[in-house]
Amino acid sequence: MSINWFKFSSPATFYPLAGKLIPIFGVLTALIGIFGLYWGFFQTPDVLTDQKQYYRIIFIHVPAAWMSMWLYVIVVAWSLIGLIFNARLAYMIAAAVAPTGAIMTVLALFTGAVWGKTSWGTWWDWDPRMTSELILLFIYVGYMALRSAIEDNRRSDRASAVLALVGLVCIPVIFWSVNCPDPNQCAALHQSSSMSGIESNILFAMLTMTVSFWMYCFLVPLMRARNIILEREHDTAWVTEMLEVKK
Amino acid sequence: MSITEFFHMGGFGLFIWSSVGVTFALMAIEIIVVKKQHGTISKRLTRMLRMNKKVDQ
Amino acid sequence: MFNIFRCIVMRDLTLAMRRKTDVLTTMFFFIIVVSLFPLGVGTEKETLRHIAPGVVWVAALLASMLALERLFASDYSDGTLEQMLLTPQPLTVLVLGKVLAHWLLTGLPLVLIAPLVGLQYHLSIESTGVMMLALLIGTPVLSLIGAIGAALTLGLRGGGILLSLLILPLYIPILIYGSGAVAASAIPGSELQAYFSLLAAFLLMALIFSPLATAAGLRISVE
Repeated sequence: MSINWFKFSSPATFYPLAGKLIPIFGVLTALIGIFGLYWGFFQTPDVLTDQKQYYRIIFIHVPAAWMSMWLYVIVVAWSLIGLIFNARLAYMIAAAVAPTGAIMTVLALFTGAVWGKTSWGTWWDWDPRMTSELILLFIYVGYMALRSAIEDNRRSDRASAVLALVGLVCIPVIFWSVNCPDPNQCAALHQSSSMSGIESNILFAMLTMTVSFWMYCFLVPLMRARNIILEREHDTAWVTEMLEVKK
Repeated sequence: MSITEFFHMGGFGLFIWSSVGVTFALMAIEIIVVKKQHGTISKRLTRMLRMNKKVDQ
Repeated sequence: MFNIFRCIVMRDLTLAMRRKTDVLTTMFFFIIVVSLFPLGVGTEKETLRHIAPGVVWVAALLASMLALERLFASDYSDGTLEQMLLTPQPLTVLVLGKVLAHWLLTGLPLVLIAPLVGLQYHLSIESTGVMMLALLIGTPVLSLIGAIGAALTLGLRGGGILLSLLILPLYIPILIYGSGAVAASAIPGSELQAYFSLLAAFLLMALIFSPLATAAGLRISVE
């Protein structure tokens, strides 16, 4: 089976396709989310050996943190596709994903702070992971600020794509430097996570919630991409036609 | 397990439920804002279309 | 190719020498920011010595940030930049020339007045030397990374504040190792070479990637 991918790269075909996908992702987000929360709150032990019930924050903390990083990769990937193939739609998707990524970063920071208060007794600690997440938020904000500051669509698309790429090159260096400010003793990671010791029910609930968050990260960017398309293509024939049919 | 016990969460209820609440509130707000945006844009475009038609006639 | 490079550097230096205020404002901005901290946090010797590395580097970051806005702005407004984009010479070389001139005018003065800061903050002579060397390697990286942001925000309203939003997070590694080197130099017997190797590695990386990204940014902005 061969799919004509270039057909979908036109906003005119993508718009109705996204419209059909949105309800599907909406239902998936809700159902998987409810199931994940049910499993997380009713099928898991109340007290672990060293962590009490507050560990349940991970069911939203970890998915949000994972999504915040993953969505930046998505933004860069679509920016790159946009630059290489000169595809308008790719830039629009990158623009649609970024705000959701920023929200995930905020959620990861907030839930992380709450967790910090319960387990370390402090809202904020300059722990490498928290610092990295904060810097990721700054980078998202910079990306969105540049995009909204440029009025010319073509320039704003391409300039923000270049910025996203520069960010991708810099982020590993930044995270690494935050991780070991003293290069002479770099081996010590302050907080190491072990997936192996985790109880299977907790892991299952966490992964289920991650899938739910992921579906959400399809849902909202698709909705936002439709808005961007509508705004930018408002003087094309297909938008005019569509609006007339609706009326 | 009673309902109060469930919401109490071994003394961590406030922390857990505020995290959960803020997360879902933010998500809901994002969806509502984007939806509203869609409404305003399509309304504006339809109005523009009608105006252009009147000009044409 | 080297001729064009030299030509651009000399041109920018001559232009700047006609209007010395630009150079002086950056330098005085740096001095003022550094002098404000003791007034804010108190003039106790130990505290000052403790915060000196961070203060100096944050002030250097901000000073080079402020100067960046003017990197391409005047060439853009009088149309020279457009001509430069049309020349057959590689744009990366032109960019590199402009960044070097910019660093000579705004980065190098910071290195040279660093001893003054050392006196203000009661740093030892070794620490002051380390600080100068770290600034010498680190400030060119700031100019190089900043050039990307300057190219992308060219001619935008409120470009200056936007520029800092884009670029300051990317300065973090330089801040960490630059001030780390100065802080480590206060502890006797500490190994400093790793800091300088890292800073030099950042410089090399920036030298390779930044002119490419800046050139791409300029083409996008001017088009």
